[in-house]
Amino acid sequence: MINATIDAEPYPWPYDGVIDPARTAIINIDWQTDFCGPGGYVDAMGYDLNLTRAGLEPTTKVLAAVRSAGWTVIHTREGHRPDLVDCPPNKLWRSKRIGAGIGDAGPCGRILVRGEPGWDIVPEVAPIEGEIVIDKPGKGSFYATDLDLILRTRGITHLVFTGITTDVCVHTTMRDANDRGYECLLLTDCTGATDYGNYEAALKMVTMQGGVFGAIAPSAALLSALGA
Amino acid sequence: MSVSTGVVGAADVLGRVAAAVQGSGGTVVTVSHGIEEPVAGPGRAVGHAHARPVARPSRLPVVGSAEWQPDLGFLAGPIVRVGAIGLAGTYGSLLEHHLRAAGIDRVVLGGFASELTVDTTVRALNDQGFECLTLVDGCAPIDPATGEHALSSVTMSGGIFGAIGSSADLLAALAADDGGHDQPGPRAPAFQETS
Repeated sequence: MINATIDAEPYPWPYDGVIDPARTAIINIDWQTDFCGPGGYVDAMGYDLNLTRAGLEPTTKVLAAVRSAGWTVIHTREGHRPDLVDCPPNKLWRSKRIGAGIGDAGPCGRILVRGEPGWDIVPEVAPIEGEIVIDKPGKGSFYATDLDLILRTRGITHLVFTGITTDVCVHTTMRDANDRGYECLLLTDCTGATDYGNYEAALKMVTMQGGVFGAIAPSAALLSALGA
Repeated sequence: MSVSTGVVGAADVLGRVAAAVQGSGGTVVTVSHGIEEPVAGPGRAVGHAHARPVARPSRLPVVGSAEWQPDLGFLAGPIVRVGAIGLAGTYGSLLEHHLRAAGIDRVVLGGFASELTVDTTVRALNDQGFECLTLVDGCAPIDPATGEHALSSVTMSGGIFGAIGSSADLLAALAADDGGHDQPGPRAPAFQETS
């Protein structure tokens, strides 16, 4: 247990001034080839991969530090069953309309389908033995998953987020977590979006109203608090 | 699309849209902060198993009580009123239950604030499979810049949280509706506001 806070905005995180490895988890959102690798879903839609890959290097450093500190480490993956029975028809329709149909064949296998190469987490931040992986069909990591059950069962109360994309899956998950009472921190350099303006706005939204969804901080502030 | 009408303007838009939706056989839902039942619990600012802990304590009014948000003056006719304990209108609320029970799968949303409660509710409903339209002129942001980006995020990747549109287009579409309601209640504008 560390009686310390992280230099964060809009308040020193966490609110209770204690970073307890037994109650703290890092959640790494959707670091999958489909979202940050060549030939994946985001690449197929024509977005700049540098924006979603920017957070990889700082995230590797953070992962090393929190693994060493004994935090719970969780990874999420967005993807659907091979028969797409868990893919809402409107989501499928929209993806086909933009030319990157879920389930269609691409350079990294079938897009956003579980078990395909594009669905794998990229090697830089891949899970290691014993870490928890959550498979989710939506943008949020709580809906239709066992994430909340796992966090409650382990007694986790504090969450630190990395991952992509900031304004979509990361924000949706953080908003959900905040509503559920978890104390949340988003690491600003460990996340990215397909649109830089939306990335910046997503960070700002967290800090509105005194921290309406929690707080934000650069990874250096976390590493400093951990003495890493 | 770039319209920031403020709370009064958005309310005016939602009032007109709600009347048109009711006229075409749709359902109008309002969501505001509120808790379904008071359950006393030790050490909690809010007596509910799923309420947020002491980090940001808040007192939520009980749904249906005198403390709860009163009827919104700009809406008339039958309204389904829902209380939510979260910023998401779906969290700690009966919103999804009401929509599923009525067989509704398309939701038009507006309210205050665009980038907080409205956006959070759209994200949750989208994951749950609802087809969502966020009304640009039916939303009021706290900050115009973040409000714009919240709308932009909806449209990423071909409509990652559905679509955005104007009340004029929606009203025109409703007016052109031939009135055939073989599948009743297909639309449910949900007005959401913070308290």
